[in-house]
Amino acid sequence: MLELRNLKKSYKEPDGGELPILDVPKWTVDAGEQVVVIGPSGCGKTTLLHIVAGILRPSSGHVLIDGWDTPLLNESERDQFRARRIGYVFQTFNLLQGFSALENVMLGMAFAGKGTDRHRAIDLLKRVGLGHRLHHKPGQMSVGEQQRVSVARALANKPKLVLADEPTANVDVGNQQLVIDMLRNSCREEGVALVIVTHAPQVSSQFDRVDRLTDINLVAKAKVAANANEGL
Amino acid sequence: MSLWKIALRSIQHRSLASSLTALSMSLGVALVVTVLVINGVVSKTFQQGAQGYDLIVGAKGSKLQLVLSTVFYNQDPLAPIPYRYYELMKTSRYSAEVEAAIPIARGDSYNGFPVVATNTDYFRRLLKSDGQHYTLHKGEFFKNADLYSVVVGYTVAKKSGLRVGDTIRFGHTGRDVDLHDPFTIVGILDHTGSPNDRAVFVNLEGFYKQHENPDGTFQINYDLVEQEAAQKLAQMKEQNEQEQGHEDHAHDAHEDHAHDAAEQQEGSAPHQEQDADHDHAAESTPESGNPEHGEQGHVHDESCGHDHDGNRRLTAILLITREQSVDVSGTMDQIDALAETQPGVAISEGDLVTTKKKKVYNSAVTALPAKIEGELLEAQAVAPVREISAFFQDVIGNIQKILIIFAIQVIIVAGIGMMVSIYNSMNERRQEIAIMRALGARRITVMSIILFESILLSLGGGLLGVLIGHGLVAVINPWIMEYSNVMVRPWDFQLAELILIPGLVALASIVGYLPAVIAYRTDVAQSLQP
Repeated sequence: MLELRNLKKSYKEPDGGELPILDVPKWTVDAGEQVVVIGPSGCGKTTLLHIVAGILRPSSGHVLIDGWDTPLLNESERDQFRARRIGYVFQTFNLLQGFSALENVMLGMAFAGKGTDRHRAIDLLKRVGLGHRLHHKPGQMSVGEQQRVSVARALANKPKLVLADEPTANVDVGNQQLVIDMLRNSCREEGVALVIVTHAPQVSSQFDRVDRLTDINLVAKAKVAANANEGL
Repeated sequence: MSLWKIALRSIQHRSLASSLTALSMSLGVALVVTVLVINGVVSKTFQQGAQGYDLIVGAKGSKLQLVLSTVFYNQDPLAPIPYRYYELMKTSRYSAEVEAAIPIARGDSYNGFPVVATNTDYFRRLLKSDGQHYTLHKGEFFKNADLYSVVVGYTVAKKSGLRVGDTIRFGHTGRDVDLHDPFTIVGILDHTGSPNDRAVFVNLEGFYKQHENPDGTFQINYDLVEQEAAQKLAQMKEQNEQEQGHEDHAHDAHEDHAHDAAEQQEGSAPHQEQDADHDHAAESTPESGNPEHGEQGHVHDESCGHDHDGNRRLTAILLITREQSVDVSGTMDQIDALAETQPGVAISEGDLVTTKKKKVYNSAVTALPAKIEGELLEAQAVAPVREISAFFQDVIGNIQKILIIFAIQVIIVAGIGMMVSIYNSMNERRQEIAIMRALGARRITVMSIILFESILLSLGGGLLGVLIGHGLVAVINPWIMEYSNVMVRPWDFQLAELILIPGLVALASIVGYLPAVIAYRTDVAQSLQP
């Protein structure tokens, strides 16, 4: 379902040089599979998700999702692809403050250009336990509830893949497990592949497949090796 | 969920800033609306005010004053003219051009409302601006035989609490005290939206009775103005005599009386008077051009029935002219130029298409003033529509243009304020825009949302401005009414207001463009950083 092949990403430095961030020879996720990617801060976790989501374009290589090589699409096509086939759960929830929980879920539908399905949005919110908070705005909800809205929003357009970037980082301990359960169960019910990036062991320990970015990403691998050498 | 709704939600989320932005826009729009409404209504009222008659005959002097005092009652009347002029207009001398003549005498007022002395023809012959005859809210029109009857305008009755059957006493303007005998109200006019709503119409004969001395002499309070007018008249007559003294007076007195107006102008009055064989003195010598034959020394031909009118005066005579058709051929441009240069000339559009000839109706209006002024040296004949249009364009029009320009400047400043407001909000909205982009919104989509916000704010402010503007009209309406006799109703909507809608959308698109471009260029990945 998802395949990264010879994926490289680097940024221009002020002195004109290149700062390599990612170098992933190959990495795959099957349809409906649930994978956790772990790694220390600065190893390129968020950049990897942004490239998979089409928010960033890789410097080179292929990102194959459901048969589409997304870097070959132009920006507008990538936006549409993202809206229709990828759900995104942010670390800071990123709900729009002026919109109710229901409207936040429907917002993702609006951008997909397929019309909004109010019933599905309500159903999703009910499934994450927010049937009684449909018309509350983010400021009127707890952080746990906000992240659950974010989960419902990610699933709104029946995506093939959900990407979650540190989904429990800003959630209180009591709600962390709830959010993870919601994500896993919802993706399972919808048959959606799930990739969670986290550095929280209590999250990663629950998944059958846990990939270390320091193994996938050659740049991170080299950096860890260099740090180890410095330590020696 | 449409982009409009998303934009609306964003506005609501910043309700205070949005309200202030829209309010600043509304003030500019309110100014424009107020000016447009007053401009439209005043223009319409001025144009309609003179409908129903084609010419006003009054004393020589300011044409505009004659029109304003006769049509709108908001100027003092000019010096009076002899009553016999009115009778003359009804003779065969003017029958070819004049369909009806209606006498008007002013000078009195009731409770601050102008008293208009006239006869039944005023209501019987004149049509309102809607082409209908005057109708009564209550009661009936006075009859010529009912000397002390009065019909009051709608506003007069309402403001003074008058009812049919009540009696009123009025006096000379400026000394608005009970000088005259009581008049009985027999009718109250329906609301017309014209200056006549504020007028008191009295029977002309009754009016004269109030101004006659017991010995039958006539003593309306025009003495001073009449003396001044007489002095001016004497000067004019003297000048006229000198000019005519050089002209060839070989005028055939027995020529056909149906000669055209230009010929009549050329004919000298003294020659006509000396024609002993002339069988109708009133037609041949309507007014002496002889200085010695002034007002005091004037002796009327009894056959005209003028004697009994003695020193009676009128302040104006309203003329309804006959339609005459004259075939005019020429190029389109020539005919159009003729229509423009000949006030009072109406062009029949129907003939235009097929024959490229036009019939010029009411051509008498163009020649009639010259004829009247040539024959009646104390009088002038003025086409009110022309004077009003000129006055409107020259004075009121320019003031309104300045006001509209000023108001548009206010709108532009408000627009710039709106741009600054949205622009400033863009910093805090970068993440919001990035979220939308991350959810799949295209660049053009977020750009559209910002533009829609700008448009909604403008239109919201515009709508509020329209309401404020009309509210402002309601507030200042009594003041306008008091000083101009023009009623401006708050619900008078002007079609020009519709221009505001595309205008505001265009302005909003311009001022929203810069913030929209910022939204367009937002770096999603960078803006999503926690």
